Amino acid sequence: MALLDDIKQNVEVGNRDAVLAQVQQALDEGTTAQDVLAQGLIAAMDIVGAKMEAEEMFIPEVLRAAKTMEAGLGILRPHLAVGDVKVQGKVVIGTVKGDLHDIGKNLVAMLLASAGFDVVDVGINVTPADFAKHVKDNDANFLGLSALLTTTMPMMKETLAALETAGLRGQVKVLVGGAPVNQSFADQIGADGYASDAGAAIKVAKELA
Amino acid sequence: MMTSDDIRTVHQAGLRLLEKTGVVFKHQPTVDLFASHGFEVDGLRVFMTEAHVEAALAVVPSWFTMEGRNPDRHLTFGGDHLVVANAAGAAFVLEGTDMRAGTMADLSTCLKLSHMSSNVDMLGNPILPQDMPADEGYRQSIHCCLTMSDKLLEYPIATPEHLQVALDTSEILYGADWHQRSRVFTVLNSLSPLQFEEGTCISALELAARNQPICLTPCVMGGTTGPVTTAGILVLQHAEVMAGLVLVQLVSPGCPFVYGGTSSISSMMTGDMLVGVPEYWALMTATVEIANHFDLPSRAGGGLTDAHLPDMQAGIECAMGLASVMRTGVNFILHGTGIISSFNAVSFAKFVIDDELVGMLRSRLKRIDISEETMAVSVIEDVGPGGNFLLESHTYAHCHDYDRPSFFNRRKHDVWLSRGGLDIAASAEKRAKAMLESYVAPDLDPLILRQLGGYCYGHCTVAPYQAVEE
Ligand code: B1M
Repeated sequence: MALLDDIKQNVEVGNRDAVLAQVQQALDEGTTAQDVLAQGLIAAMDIVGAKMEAEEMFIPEVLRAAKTMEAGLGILRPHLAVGDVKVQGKVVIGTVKGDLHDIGKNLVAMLLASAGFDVVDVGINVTPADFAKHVKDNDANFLGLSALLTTTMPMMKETLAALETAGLRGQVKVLVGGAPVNQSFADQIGADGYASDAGAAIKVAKELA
Repeated sequence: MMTSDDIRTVHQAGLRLLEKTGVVFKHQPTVDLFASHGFEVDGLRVFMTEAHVEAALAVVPSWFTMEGRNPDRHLTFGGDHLVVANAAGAAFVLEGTDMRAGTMADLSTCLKLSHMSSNVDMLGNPILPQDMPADEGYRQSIHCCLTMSDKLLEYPIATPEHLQVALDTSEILYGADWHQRSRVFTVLNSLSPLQFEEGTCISALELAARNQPICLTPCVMGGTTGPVTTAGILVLQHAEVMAGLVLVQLVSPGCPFVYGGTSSISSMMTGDMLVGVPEYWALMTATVEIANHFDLPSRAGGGLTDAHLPDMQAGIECAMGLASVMRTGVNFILHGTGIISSFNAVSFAKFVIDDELVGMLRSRLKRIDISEETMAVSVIEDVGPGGNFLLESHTYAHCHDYDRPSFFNRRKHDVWLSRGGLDIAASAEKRAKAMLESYVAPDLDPLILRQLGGYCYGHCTVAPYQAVEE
């Protein structure tokens, strides 16, 4: 349908005003909210994801598309049933204690959000106890840990121990990343997943979801 | 090249940020200090006026001299002096295509190379060793740096504990009144955009109180922690350096200070910081130009590359990175030798290639000496049209002028082939091996050596790394 195609294209290029108007128009014309969601908004984000992987779209463009999709979703929401919008999971994410590097973590957080995860970014220099508290308070089923310093990598292990102590380890999948982190380190400390970049982080999180 | 108008425009833009947006110092005593001097403060946010910046610029020295344990190796920062230090803070070592965790032994290798190099003037703590617990690794690393070479060290200070080690080891080396002179040199980073983290504030206050130099180096990443445009990056970097300058001069008017910058663009595809790109070279050149304009010692650039092999990409990027700032008159280069993989790793082969490159650039930057003797007009007249200069005593007298020991190939193909036909990385490895074999540790007073050993190894649970025998 031409209108849904237009919506799809406008989400991709981040044209918020057009998407808002066209989503409303589609509803007015009698298209179901489910169809607008699946064939317009989600279809657009599938293309965006593929283009990002193919290095055809840049991060700011991906984020703009995701924000546009969210805006369109805002109009659809009253017309959708609870189960129609699939939330991938609730993620608490932060940079471990002693570490201030947050650019990579921010990227991962933003892209996870744009991929449909409910993300709570708890910032930098977060102690193991605070991570456990945030997981509990938010009833999260994912915990993302970022470390950029070899000296702060051990904090990932300590954070896992804090989850264990708090009796929360069973409730969350733990995903780790950051320049000095690798798969074997992740395995060694007993994390559930490792990702080398933000794109991979979304893939791994979706697999674990 | 920036015109003075460009520089003034960037300066005014930076001042506007300081005045209207302010800078967050995440350390209450620092904010209190500003408030007590009449600065407008809102929570942890401090606002600065043009007058505050002018006052700081009026008292900061345009040069200073660092004194180490060997008077021949004292170093002056500012004017037309150039100080080159090796790689700093890498976590990994790159050998071939293999990236592995750095160890104490790797640290020792780097320090030996730096000590033997005639182009490296100063040490950076090249590798954060991963074969021992972090806190012990720090003291052991500092011990290696202070004992394996008598070149001055850029102390890596990221936490108050590190700061304490710098202060304590300086007292051991130079005695209780060590801070009468410039002894501890460190690079502090702002946390862009427009923030100074608690540990940085503490280090700045404590070091300035002892009148020790501070090299303030923002690392703005365009598009992520700063605007995506290079001019925007430059303005933000400038505002942060000025904020640091104002703080340091408030604590201790006249405290030595270096205008630093290592900001660059980020890849908008991945978010990664890029250091092997023309935008980085332009930003680093501009950093030096701005420092020059304000008559401040500068730090910028380095032998930086985004390559993962000491290959031609690495060579091009390092040469451009180093030449850009050296031609502009930079005073201090950190990561001058050995760093690879966008700051993440050290390569020993690249270390000696960079060493060679720095040496070549130093020669390149010397002005051609124009004099009667060097123009040799009378010699040309004597030889006349069609003659030969090989037998001239002028030739005999100057034939070693441009003779620089080099492992770069200068021979014909067949000779090169008969000598193994090595590429640059393989030749560099041979060269590194020879340098390591000829390494001799510098003398150090046995009493000081023992005290340093006691201090750095006293609480260690892991056997000390025996770099230098007591
Ligand atoms: C949850 O699941 C996941 C999954 C994937 C995840 C993930 C989580 N987290 C990350 N990922 C992955 O996805 C991201 C997107 O693709 C990627 O994230 P990255 O973070 O890797 O990539 C980002 C998009 C871009 N990359 C970055 O943001 C880091 C770039 C480099 C240059 C860097 C920067 C910018 C900074 N630094 Co720092 N810094 C360096 C870095 C060298 C480098 N090239 O990596 C590194 C990491 N720093 C280092 C050091 C030593 C330090 N730094 C320090 C400070 C800073 C700045 C404040 C100046 C600034 C940080 C600004 C900020 N807001 O984050 C100090 C420490 C402060 C502290 N306590 O944390 C200081 C101690 C002092 C110094 N300046 O040297 C080195 C670490 C060495 C080591 N042994 O670990 C370093 C390699 C540079 C060097 N050689 O000195 C992936 O790793």
